[in-house]
Amino acid sequence: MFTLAGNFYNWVKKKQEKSVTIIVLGLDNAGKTTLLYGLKDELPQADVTPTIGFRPSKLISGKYTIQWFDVGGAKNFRRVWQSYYPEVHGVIYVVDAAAPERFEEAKETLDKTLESEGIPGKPVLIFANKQDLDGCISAHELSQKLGMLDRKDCCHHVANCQAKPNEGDPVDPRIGKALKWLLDAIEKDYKSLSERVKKDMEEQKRKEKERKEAQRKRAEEAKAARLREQAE
Amino acid sequence: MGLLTLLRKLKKSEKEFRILVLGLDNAGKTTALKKLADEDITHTMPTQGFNIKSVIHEGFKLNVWDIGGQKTIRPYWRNYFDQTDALVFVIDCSDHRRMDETGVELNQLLDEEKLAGVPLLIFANKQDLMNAMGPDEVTEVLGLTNIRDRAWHIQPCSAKTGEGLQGGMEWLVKNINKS
Ligand SMILES: Nc1nc2c(ncn2[C@@H]2O[C@H](COP(=O)(O)OP(=O)(O)OP(=O)(O)O)[C@@H](O)[C@H]2O)c(=O)[nH]1
Ligand SMILES: Nc1nc2c(ncn2[C@@H]2O[C@H](COP(=O)(O)OP(=O)(O)OP(=O)(O)O)[C@@H](O)[C@H]2O)c(=O)[nH]1
Ligand SMILES: [Mg+2]
Ligand SMILES: [Mg+2]
Repeated sequence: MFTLAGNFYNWVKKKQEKSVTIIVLGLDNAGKTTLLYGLKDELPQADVTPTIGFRPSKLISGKYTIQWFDVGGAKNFRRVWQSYYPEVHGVIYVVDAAAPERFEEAKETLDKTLESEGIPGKPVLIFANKQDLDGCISAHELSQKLGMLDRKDCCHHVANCQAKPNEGDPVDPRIGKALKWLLDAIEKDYKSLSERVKKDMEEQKRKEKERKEAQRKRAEEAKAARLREQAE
Repeated sequence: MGLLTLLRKLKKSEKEFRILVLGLDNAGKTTALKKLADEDITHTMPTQGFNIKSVIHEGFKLNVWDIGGQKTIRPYWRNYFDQTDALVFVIDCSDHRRMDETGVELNQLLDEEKLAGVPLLIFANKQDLMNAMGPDEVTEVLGLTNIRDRAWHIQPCSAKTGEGLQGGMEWLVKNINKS
């Protein structure tokens, strides 16, 4: 009897566990890496450095196992973002709300992302970050600047936040609240989202295998050519 | 053992890390390490076995293993995989013809069980040369975006001038497996 009850409990638990992958995007210096600490309810490290690469991390929150992808936002690095799109369930887009000179670039970059293969149909949470700085604009104003105010075709939400808390302050509670919005949006559509992700990831794996195989062949050919040259 | 000695011991073992530096021959591994240690780089010879260097960076002691990259030596790389805290992979970005070979070697390393999850710093080296590929291009050619099981960082640098080396080491120290 005991075993049975145990098994039943495990089964219920398993049923409720959901794995979710979220990518954090935005221009360089927007505060993505800093925000990720807050999303995990941790205080940020004192000195974050620009990301030129990829940093995965995990968080178990209630029934969710969340896998986070933090990528670099520098201009020449943005083209690699799309390689991650097929496997994410949702997107977080961070904007430095106190950098008006970069709003246009932030809008163009967001527009491009929203159109990219693997994104349409997935929920997007936008943060108007750096609310502590002079001259910052609010979530509502940012929504307007980004042309998101009356966009009905994309499930989105814009929230204020301060990813880097003042000395001695706790993590900004607005971050967790906004994250809840995103998780709820994913939850609503979880079945079809995860089926889509699964299918797209299989396709991606297949392509990657092909790419590696082709690379291996090219490397061998190049080596043979070199040996011939040396022999001559 | 007194508490103090115990603490000291703990601190020491906590702060010493094993870093493996790999990459094809001629990539600039030895030059990069010499430069970081402020040594003369004019007479660097191909490494026939390995060199160990200890670099102190922000209070961390990094025991850096620089292994020769010649094709005949590469099969021995695996002898050094145990207990690696971080992997540094150096690339000669001016050597376009060997980029595929570089990719094949890197993929093999990433598939190694003993190196699973180990953070990866890529030095996109020889940026002082006119024809050097940029870090974004290298990322694409090597398919770095397919890596999911570890943090990675690509640092443009020149071992010759020293530019970028410190930045790479800073990332390494922050992202090293500290458990
Ligand atoms: N004042 C203030 N500064 C912030 C805030 N959030 C982040 N920053 C600072 O903004 C700078 C950039 O933050 P990062 O988290 O590195 O930005 P990023 O978006 O990850 O940048 P890349 O990795 O280069 O794409 C850092 O100096 C942070 O300390 C905030 O809410 N307020
Ligand atoms: N222009 C330029 N040359 C470099 C740079 N780094 C290394 N070199 C040169 O590249 C050659 C190979 O450098 P090494 O440091 O010996 O290369 P390695 O990776 O240790 O090679 P192995 O020990 O054979 O695996 C030397 O002639 C270096 O002077 C660089 O950043 N720029
Ligand atoms: Mg970052
Ligand atoms: Mg060497």
